[in-house]
Amino acid sequence: MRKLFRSRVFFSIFAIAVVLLLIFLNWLNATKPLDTAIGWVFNPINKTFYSLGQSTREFFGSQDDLDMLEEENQLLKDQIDHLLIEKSQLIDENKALLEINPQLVFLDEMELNSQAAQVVGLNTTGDSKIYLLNKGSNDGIKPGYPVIVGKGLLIGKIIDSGSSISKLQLITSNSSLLSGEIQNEQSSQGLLQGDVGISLNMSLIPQDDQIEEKQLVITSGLDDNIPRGLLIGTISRLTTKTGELFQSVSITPISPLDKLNIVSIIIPQ
Amino acid sequence: MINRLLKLLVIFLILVIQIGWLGNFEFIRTKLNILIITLTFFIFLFDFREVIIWGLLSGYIMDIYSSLPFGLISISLIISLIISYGLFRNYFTNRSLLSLMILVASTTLTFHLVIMFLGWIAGQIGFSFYEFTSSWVISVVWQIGFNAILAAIGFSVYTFLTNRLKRNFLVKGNL
Repeated sequence: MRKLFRSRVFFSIFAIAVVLLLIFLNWLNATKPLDTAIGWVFNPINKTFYSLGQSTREFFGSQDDLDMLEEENQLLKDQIDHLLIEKSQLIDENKALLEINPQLVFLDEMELNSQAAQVVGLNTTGDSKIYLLNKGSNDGIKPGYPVIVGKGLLIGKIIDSGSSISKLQLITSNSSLLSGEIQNEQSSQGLLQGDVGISLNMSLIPQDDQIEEKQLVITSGLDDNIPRGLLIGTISRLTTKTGELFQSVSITPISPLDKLNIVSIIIPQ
Repeated sequence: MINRLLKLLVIFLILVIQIGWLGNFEFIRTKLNILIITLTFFIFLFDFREVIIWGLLSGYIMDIYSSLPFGLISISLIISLIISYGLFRNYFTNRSLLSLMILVASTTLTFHLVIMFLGWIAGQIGFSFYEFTSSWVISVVWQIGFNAILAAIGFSVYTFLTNRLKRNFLVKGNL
């Protein structure tokens, strides 16, 4: 009996040692072929199950009459999003025309390389959601690359990339940080941080700048790998407290972040 | 051989359901871990080495798809399975449905406590990867409850479909 117990203890230590060895090998990137093989087997099945889950959710949802209204509401929201994007592009183009050549050169440079990716899973840690995408370092994806949907709506950044899998952190996650620019007269810049997975807070905006609700916020281009002009959201609330040196605002993302399917990862040139 | 392939298929199916399918449902996503339920079920059915090997394999795959640092799920899963197996061998002489539910609940709790402990250690050395908020505690409590309930349902379905469990569990009609 004691012998048997000993062998179990030995096997337990052995199993933990195997995990530690795998962690070490992963740190050395030596498990890459194995990760690729697992991704090769799992990604198509995961994709099918993820789509199946979406269909299941939609099927049960459509049983409710209220969903008809929700659908209509979503359609109108999409149209508003579309108009907001057009408005944002027009404001940017207008500025470019006014500020003449440097801006026009910049717009020419906006020819971005991108890689389309499919969401294959969703992982929740604390208050933040991490989407799993079916493209990884084998496709040139690296941490820090921005991820967009539609016509330039920024939804997040890649925080980790395996050989055939990458992990997308939403801009609304608590640990997400990026610099943004308000489309007002002063082109006010500030620091954007996610807020409990729902919205974003923009801080460090100069006190004298004119800020109003519904103004659009875009990426400022100050972050590595993130080009200027990607639409982030609209100002929903001014949150500056009396006596503060800088202004702060709450921002609502334009794109719905809970129904992602196909996304584009921008690859810097 | 066919037996092992079947087990592999079950583990694969559980993994794709956990990773791909469950992620779509906001309410249940963080409140259910069917991999823990399955592996705890394995404790009742198979020998220690086999349970640990399946734990290693599934933990590795979960780690690839997890947003947590690589290895954290594997190590937490292995430690919780070792502890649960110890509890099962030494204290759960009565192999009833209730024992299974308690063991699933304790495996779930141990799994999250190990993650929290390792997260705390990482935080102490300046490498924080996880925020242990009140919502995390609530989701763990929910997960313990939901896992135990689903284990009970799974047990009932399994005993209805096959007699195999009756050799391992104390069920009505087998006494």
